Amino acid sequence: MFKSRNWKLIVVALTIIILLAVPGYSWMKKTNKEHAERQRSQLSPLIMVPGSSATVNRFNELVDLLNENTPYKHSLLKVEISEDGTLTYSGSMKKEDNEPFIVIGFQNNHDGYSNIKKQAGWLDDAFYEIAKTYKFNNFKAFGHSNGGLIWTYWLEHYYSDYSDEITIKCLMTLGSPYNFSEKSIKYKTQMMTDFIKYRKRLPKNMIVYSLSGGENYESDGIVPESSVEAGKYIFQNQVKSYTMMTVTGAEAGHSSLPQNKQVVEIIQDYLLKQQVKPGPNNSQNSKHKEN
Amino acid sequence: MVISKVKANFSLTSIVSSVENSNNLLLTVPATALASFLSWLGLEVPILDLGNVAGSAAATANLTYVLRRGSVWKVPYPYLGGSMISIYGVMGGCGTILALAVAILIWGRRKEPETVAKMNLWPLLFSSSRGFLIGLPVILNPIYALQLVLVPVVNMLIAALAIFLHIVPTPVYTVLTGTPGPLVPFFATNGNWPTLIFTIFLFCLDVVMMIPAVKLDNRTKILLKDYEMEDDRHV
Repeated sequence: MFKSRNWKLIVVALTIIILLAVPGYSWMKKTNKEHAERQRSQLSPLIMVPGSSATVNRFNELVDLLNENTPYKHSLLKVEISEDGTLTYSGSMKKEDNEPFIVIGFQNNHDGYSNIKKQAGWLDDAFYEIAKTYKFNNFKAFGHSNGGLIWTYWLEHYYSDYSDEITIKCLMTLGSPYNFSEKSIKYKTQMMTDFIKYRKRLPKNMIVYSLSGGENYESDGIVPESSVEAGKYIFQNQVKSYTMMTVTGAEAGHSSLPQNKQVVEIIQDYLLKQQVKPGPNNSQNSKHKEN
Repeated sequence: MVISKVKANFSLTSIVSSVENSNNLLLTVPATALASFLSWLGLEVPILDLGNVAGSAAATANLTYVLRRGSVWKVPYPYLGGSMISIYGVMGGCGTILALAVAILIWGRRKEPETVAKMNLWPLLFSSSRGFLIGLPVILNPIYALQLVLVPVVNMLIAALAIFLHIVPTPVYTVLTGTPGPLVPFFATNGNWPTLIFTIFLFCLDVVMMIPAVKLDNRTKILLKDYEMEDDRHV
């Protein structure tokens, strides 16, 4: 009845299972630990991407302005990514800072749709590394000019890899020309067409603010207002909410927008967590309202 | 009013999701029996859907609880349908079928089922049961009907008892597709050793529960011959 051949087969199967379970066990322990760390993390960085021809130092002034008059100084980490995907870090991220700024800049910072696609790929490389190192479960995105376009492309093509574990709460674009320099929506650029084509992939729970500058009635000096406005064809009725704002007055030109006082206020009010005085009551429970 | 509400909810998805998000064994155990019976008929979808907790809010709540607090004993849904069915009921998809194959390999005396079991041992180990279900066949084969329905139910009840007695924690973690059935609860509890021992015991019990069916199958040839002779006599 107990044929020896079958017993041998069963023993072999058992041995192989045990052998495979050993690496499986260590993998499982490691992955579950990472999941737990990410879940418990209080970190919610603001990740900024500068526009074309700008370096990682583009937002230094903006960060200084944001850190003025607040009891909490946000730390600033700058990541430059070269064409071959090597990351160069500068600045720092303080351990007690729950809302650090991370600037991701590209060595190849040229304009053009084909380059934006490449930059989105580099942004993804950098994002992957940062997400792995700092283990945050939510973040806010900010993009000036082409930076906003790179974020949009990244959200449509790369974000789904992370969306199970990392939530983007908010995206703010500043003078982002969704239709490049076209003044009329009748003429859609290839990029605009693609953005609209894949808009369904945009996260439904994301809040989007699109800021434009008004140097005159038509543009911020470089980007036509109608090109920024074209963003509504991408985001409206697709994300949780989409708000457009136009900033005028002094320093409303395209390049001075990141240093504009009103822009700084808008970022503080809409993008950053409302600063509360440290106390025993409000340290917890403020995190997962928006699930 | 009530009738229209019932009507509105009458679709496979809504039934499945109400069972998989349920913490009530009085609902989940009969549902498992029914789904197992349907899989014996060849309809795999209900039992696969019941055990697919990827989109289940309750399973996510359990996992989030454990990840945030680090404690496994006070999860919001200790007997969550979806987890219990997939992890203990059918042990990752085909742990119970694997038990049948092992029982055939040990106690089977007919050449054909033995060959099928041998050929399908490796696919079954890595959670692929179709070859075996069709090859033996298990589907629509009255010999295996009772066991196929009963074993998942017994597994779930014993596991629920063990969870109630705090012998094993509620499985909350997601497990890779293709994990060998008897290892699924171990991996789904982040490597809880009592769970592994408990599951080995449960698996051995499953194999033992399969013996009557195998013994019956051993005798089919003789029984069939008797039946045919009886038939011939009438002619």
